[in-house]
Amino acid sequence: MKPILIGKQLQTSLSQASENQMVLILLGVSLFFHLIVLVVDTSMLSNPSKPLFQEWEIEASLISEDTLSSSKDSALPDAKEAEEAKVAKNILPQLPKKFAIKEKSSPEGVGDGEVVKKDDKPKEKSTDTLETKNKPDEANKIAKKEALERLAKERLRLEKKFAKKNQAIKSSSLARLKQQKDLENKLSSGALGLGKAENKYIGKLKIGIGRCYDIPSAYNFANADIQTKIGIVVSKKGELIKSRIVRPSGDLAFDNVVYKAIQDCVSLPIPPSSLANKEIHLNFNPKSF
Amino acid sequence: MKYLFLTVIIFLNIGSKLSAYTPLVVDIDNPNFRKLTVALPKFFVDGSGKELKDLAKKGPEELSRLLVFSGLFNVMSDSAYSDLIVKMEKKSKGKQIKLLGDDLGKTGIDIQQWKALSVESLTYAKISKESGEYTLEIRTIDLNRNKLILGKKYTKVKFSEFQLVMRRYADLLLEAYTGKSGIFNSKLVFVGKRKSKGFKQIFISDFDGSNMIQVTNDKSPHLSPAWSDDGRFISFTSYRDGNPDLYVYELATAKIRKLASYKGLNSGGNWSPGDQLIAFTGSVAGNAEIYYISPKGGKRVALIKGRGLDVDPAFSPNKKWMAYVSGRFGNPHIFLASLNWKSDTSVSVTKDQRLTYAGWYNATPAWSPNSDKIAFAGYDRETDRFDLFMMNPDGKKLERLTLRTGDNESPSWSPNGQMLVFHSSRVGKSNKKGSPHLYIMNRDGSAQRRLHVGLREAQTPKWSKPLLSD
Repeated sequence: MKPILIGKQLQTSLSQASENQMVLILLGVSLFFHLIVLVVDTSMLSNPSKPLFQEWEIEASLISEDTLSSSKDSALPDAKEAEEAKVAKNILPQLPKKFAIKEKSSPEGVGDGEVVKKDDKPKEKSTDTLETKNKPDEANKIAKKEALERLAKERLRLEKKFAKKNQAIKSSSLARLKQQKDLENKLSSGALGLGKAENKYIGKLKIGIGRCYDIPSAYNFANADIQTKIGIVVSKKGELIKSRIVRPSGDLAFDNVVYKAIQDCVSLPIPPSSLANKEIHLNFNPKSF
Repeated sequence: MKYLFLTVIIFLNIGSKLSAYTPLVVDIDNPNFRKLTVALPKFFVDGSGKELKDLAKKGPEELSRLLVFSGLFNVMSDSAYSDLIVKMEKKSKGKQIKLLGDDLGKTGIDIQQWKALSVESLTYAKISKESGEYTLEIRTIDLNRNKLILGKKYTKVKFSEFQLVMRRYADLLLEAYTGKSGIFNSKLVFVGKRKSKGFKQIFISDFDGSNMIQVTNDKSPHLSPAWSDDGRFISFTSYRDGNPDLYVYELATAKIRKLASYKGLNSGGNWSPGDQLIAFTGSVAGNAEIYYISPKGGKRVALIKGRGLDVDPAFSPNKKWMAYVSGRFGNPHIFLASLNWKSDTSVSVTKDQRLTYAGWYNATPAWSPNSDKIAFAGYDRETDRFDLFMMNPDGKKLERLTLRTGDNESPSWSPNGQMLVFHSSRVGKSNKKGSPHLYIMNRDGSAQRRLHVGLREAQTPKWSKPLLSD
C-alpha cells in the first residue's frame, strides 16, 4: 500500500507543482508583456520619434504666371501687394546734385540762404550770434519766431502760386466727383424720382442676389476692407443677360467668387420696365452683420 | 447742306443725352459662407512598386480627410474629374507625370478645364522612391486667384512618416488660405473612463481623437486637465492622496509631480500665456476662491476672493483679462477680471465685471485664441440642458451654438480659432442624455460630429497649440 500511496502523493504533488509552475510561467509572461507595453507607452510619450524627412520650398515662380493668366494680386488673403520700387533696380538711390548740408543741420527755416540775403545785416547777425552765446534761450526764441514767420510767408506764397493753377483742375474734377456721388446716393435712396416699382425691385434684388452671395470662409474675407462693383443687365423676364466686373476689389479671388455667384444665380426678380435691359451696378462687400 | 449739318448735330446731341444713363447702384453685403471646393487627384507615380502605388492613393485620401476635418473645404469626388484625367493622359500620350507633375501650369488650357468643373483649389503631387526612401513633390493652385499658393518637396520620407508629411502639408495649406496656423499637429487632453465602474483617468490624443495614450493609471479619480501654453506640460487634479490636489505632468519625461496640496480644493488649473503662472480653484473653510501659483512650485496667492464660489479661471491669450465663474450674486455666472501684471509672476485684479445675466448657471469659460470671443456652457432651465454659447468679452453678441442635443459642456478652442471641442451627453441626434463623449464643431456651431476615442466616457477636453514647430 505504501508504495502506491507514495506514488499517488508524488503524482499529486508533482501535478500541484506543475500547476503552480504553469501559473508562475503565465504570470511571468503576463508581467513581461505588461512591462513591454509600459515601456513602449512611456517611450512613445517621452521620446516621440522625430521625423527625419526633409522639407523643401517649391517656389511659386516655377509655374509661369502668364500661362495661368494670373494677376498681381496677393496670394494670401491679408497680404498687401508690395509697392513697386521707384528707383531703377540696377542703380542705388542717389543724393540730389544740389544737396546743401547747411539746410539740414540748421533749424527749420533759419539756414535759408534767401532769407539771409533779404535781411542783409551780417554785422547784426554776428551780434545775434554773440547774444545767442550769452543768452541762448532768448536768441533761440527770436530765431525760431523769425523762422516760423518766414516759413509761414513762404507757404502762403507757394499756396497762392499753385492755387491758381490747381483751381481749375480741382474745381472741375471735384465737381464731377461730387455730381457722380450725389447721383449714386440719390439713385440708391430713391430720391431721383424712383417710383414704387423701382424701390420694390431694389429690395427684391437685394434678397435675390443675397441668396446667391456665397463666399468660401477659407479665404477669411470677413475682415477685409474690399469692395467689388459688378454690373448686371436683367431682361424683362428676369434673365441675366450680361454681367461684368465694373470695378475690381484688388483681390482676384473675391472678384472671381462674387462674379461666379452672380453667374450661378438661377432666378432674379423681374425688373420694372424702366430698369429692364439696363445696367445695374451691384456693390459687393464681404462684411457680415 | 446747312440744314443737313444742323440735323446731324441735333441727332448727335440727342444721342449723347440718351446714352448718358447712370446705372442704379445697389449695395450687397452680409454674405453666406460656404466651403471651398477642392480637387485632390491621385498622386502621380514615378516608378513602380506596390507601396508606391498605395501611397499615391492613400496620400490624397489622408489629405482629403484632414481638409474636410478643418470644416473649410469640400473635397470633390474623383469621379467628377476622372474623364479629365483620362483626356489629359491621352493628350500627353501616357506621359502623365510630365503633364500634371512637372509642367502643370505651362498648359493653361488644363487650368480652364479644372475651373469648368467648379474646382477652386487643385492639389497635385508626384511621388517617387529611391533606395527605400520616398520623395514627394506637392503643389496647390488656387484657381480663384490663378496662383500657386503652396509648393513643397519632401525628401527622405519613410513609409511610416507619410501620414506626418500629409499632416504637415495640410497645416501649411490651411495657413496659406486662412493666414492662421493649422491644427493637424495639435493634441487633445481629456478625462476618460475605459470601464463604466473604473476611475476617470487622463488621456492624450491627436486632434481627431486618434493615437490615444493614457497618462494616469491610479485607483483614484482625475479631473480638469489643462495644457501649458507651450504644450510641454499638463496640469490636472487627482485624488490619489485622498485630497483633490493639483499635479503637473511633463510630456518629455512622463513624470508627474505634485504642485499644490492645500487643504480642500486644488482644481481647475489654467496656465497663463507664457506659462509663468497657473490659476486654480482653492478653498478655505469650504468657500471656493481663485488662487495662482508658479508652475515650479511655491506658495499660492489669492487672486479672486469674496462671497460665494469663484471657480473656472481662464486667462485671455492677450493676458489682459481673466474670465471666471462666480456665485457671489446667487447663481453662478461668468465674470471678467481686468488684470494688472506687476511682473511675469505677480498679477492682481484691477476691475471686475459681470458678463452673463441670462441662463440659470453659466460655467467653463474658454477664450478664443485672439481673445475676441468667450465660449461657455450655460444651463437653461426651460430646456433642462446645458448648452454651449459664445459672446464677446464685454458680454455682448451672445450666440447659441448647441440646442436639443443632450448636455453640452466644457468648450475648448482649436489653435486657429476655427473650431471648438467639447463634451456632449447626446444619444445619437436626440436630446436624450447618455454617457459623455467628445465632439467638435465649427465656431458657428455647424458640422457637429463625434470624435471616436474608444472610451466608455470622455469629457472636459482641452485643445493644445500645435506641438510640432519648425
